[in-house]
Amino acid sequence: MKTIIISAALRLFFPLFIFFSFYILIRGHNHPGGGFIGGLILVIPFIFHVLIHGADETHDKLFLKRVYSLRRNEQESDMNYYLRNIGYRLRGLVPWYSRPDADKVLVKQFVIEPLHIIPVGLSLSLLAGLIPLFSGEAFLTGLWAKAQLPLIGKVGTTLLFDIGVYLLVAAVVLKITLVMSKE
Amino acid sequence: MDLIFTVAVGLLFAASLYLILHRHLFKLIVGLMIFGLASNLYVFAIGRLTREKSAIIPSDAEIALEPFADPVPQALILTAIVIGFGLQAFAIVLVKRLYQVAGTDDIDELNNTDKIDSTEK
Amino acid sequence: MQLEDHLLLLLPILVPFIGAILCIFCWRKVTAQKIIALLTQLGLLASAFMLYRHVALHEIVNIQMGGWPAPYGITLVADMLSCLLLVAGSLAGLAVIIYSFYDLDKPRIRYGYYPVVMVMQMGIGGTLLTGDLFNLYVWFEILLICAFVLITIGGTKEQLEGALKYVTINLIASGLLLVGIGTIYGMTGSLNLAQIAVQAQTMPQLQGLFVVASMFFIVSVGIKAAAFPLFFWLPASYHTPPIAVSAIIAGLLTKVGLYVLVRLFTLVFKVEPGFTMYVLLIMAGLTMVVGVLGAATQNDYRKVLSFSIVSQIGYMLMGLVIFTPLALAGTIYFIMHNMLVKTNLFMVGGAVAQAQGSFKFRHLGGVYKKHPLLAIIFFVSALSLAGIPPFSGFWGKFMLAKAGFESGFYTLAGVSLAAGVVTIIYLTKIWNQVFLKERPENIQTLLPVQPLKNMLQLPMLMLLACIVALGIYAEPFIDITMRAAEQLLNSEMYINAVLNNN
Repeated sequence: MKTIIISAALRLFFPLFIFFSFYILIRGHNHPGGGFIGGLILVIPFIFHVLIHGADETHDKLFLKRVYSLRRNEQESDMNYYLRNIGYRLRGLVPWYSRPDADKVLVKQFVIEPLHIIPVGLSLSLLAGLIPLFSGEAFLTGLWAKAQLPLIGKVGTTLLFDIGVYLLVAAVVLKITLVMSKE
Repeated sequence: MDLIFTVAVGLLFAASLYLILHRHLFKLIVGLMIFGLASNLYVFAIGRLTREKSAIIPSDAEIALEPFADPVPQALILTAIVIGFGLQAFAIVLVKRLYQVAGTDDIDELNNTDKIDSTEK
Repeated sequence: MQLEDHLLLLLPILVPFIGAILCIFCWRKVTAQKIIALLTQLGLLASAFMLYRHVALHEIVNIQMGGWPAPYGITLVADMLSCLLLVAGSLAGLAVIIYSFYDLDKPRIRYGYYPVVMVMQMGIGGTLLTGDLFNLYVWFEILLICAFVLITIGGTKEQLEGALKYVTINLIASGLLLVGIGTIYGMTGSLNLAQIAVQAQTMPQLQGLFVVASMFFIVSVGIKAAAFPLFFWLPASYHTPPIAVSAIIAGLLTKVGLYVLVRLFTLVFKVEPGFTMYVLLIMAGLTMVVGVLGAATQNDYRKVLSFSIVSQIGYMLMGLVIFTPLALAGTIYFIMHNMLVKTNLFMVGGAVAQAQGSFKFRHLGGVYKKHPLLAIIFFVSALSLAGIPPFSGFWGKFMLAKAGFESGFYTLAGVSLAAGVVTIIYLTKIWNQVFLKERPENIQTLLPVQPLKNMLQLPMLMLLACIVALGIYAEPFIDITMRAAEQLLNSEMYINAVLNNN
């Protein structure tokens, strides 16, 4: 289902959905929202991407990360090359910046596997439950920091728990989507 | 309001059982989904219905104003929906695989594991 | 709050959870997963045993999650019953994990056998320890979905067929369980088991509704425990997956369902002479009879044992019907005995299939000559299952039959003894067909035939030692189960421990 309108719109909406899912996650303490819904919203643009471009291209574009470095010039000193390359690598952290090019070399590539995010989410939630035990409270008691953070507000173990749920839900639904669309 | 919910729960249970008793795999899955929905709705209705009064405490009050809707059944069905989501996702994949492997969507033909001397190993 | 109580009650849930997380981190590394799984099981067994020691000293122990006091928050409670089942369950789990090292094929491990087994152990721990009705449902769903995944792992045609039946009927059961929980909440406004028990005692006008709610639980948990007439999914699905899966599911799952029935019908709903008791009575008797008759007609090792599970469930229900301390103690003893014996018998079948490539009687034979140790393991386990003294099954059946005759349930006790005779018949059939008779020549089996790995017998010998010990040193075990039964019958103790905690 390759339509120009949706694929162009998706490019706009992709970051919007991601920021909205963050917003829902953080708003969840006192209002409707939270990790579960946030995680589901995070997956929506990925599902759209799969619908439009197909599972293989989604995997290639969004989950396969390639790290490039600059090609070394003749008679360039080590120091010069090193400094030039560091700057390039730092800019390369921006996902859409690093593109294959004639004067760049592929250093390594790795896959962001949703399966690896699942245990991270689980352990964050587990950690949120265990932290109160160290301060002599019951398992899963919500502990809150005194200080308030800008934008986020009060920070506590419940937020950590919710982030764990957020990652877990997003990863599980992503995995289901990718597996089912590949068949 | 209670009456509408009661009738709806009854209709959903009836519809789901009707679909589950079909021989077709797809209808079976739809029936199971509706069965889950019906039991969720039942829990929601039996936890007493209070309309338009959420259990959120106003910013200028100490406790929530009576009468307010009981939040527990809502939390229960939220959890039940999430569990049902997982189970249904599994059931759909199972049915899809079964259709691919067995090559049939007629449940009556899937009786190999019940036979005393099945042809399988 | 006491840190000791907290840790002891949480560990049986957290240890498998952490094990599962670590296993998912090592998704492709089979060896690492095996090591993690083994360590987790050992840790689970140790924590279950420590919890048992603690409960034996302090009677009923409970903690509140998140510091919310009892009727409002989520409670974890451990009494003798849950600890005993936890210890027996983790023993069976440990044996199956060791067994799976030498029998389960690599592709199936790569599809996540170990993490799923760990999460299932967590679900069992949660079900046994929770003191909250809705949490019971959630934990049960967790272990159920793990069982779904385990049964389909590998995805052969007959596995998927069996799983379809299993999933369909269990999804319906889950829906009905939710309806039952909703009904209880609508009546009492609480989900805490102790609080519901108090409400049931203080609100006699709700008795009729409690019977209605109890029927929802009998049907839904009866499906999960495979009681008559709701057991048909079990023989249709339990024989399809590889033995490392069927052994753990057969050993643990239906028994956890039965635990839920015992817990609910001792604490919340009382079994009084009346409608509920007759329903349970008929279920117990017919489960025994239909189970043994089904087992006697089958010609496949795993199918015989699947029907045998059903018949044993009848014995456990029988104790609940008679409802005296001796009968409940018999039920608890029988559940523990059955977890170990059934797991062991399934593993023997797996070892036989590894050596001879089939589960069908017409393909098998001569195991006694070739692998005498395997035959001895089967022989002792089978004697124990049939209830021949001095092995463990005898004491369980003896306690149940004695309690039955003492309380005037002559028919039920007679049926249980008759079913015991048929049990001997079908076990003799397995013995003759698989172990004694000469193996037929020129047979084509579908499974690959490989030389029997001797290490496979290690977990079986381990369980065998437990079974023999349970039978020969029966007196201390019977004392312990009697104490557990007393705790169950004095529901005041449970209620006081949970509600007057602070």
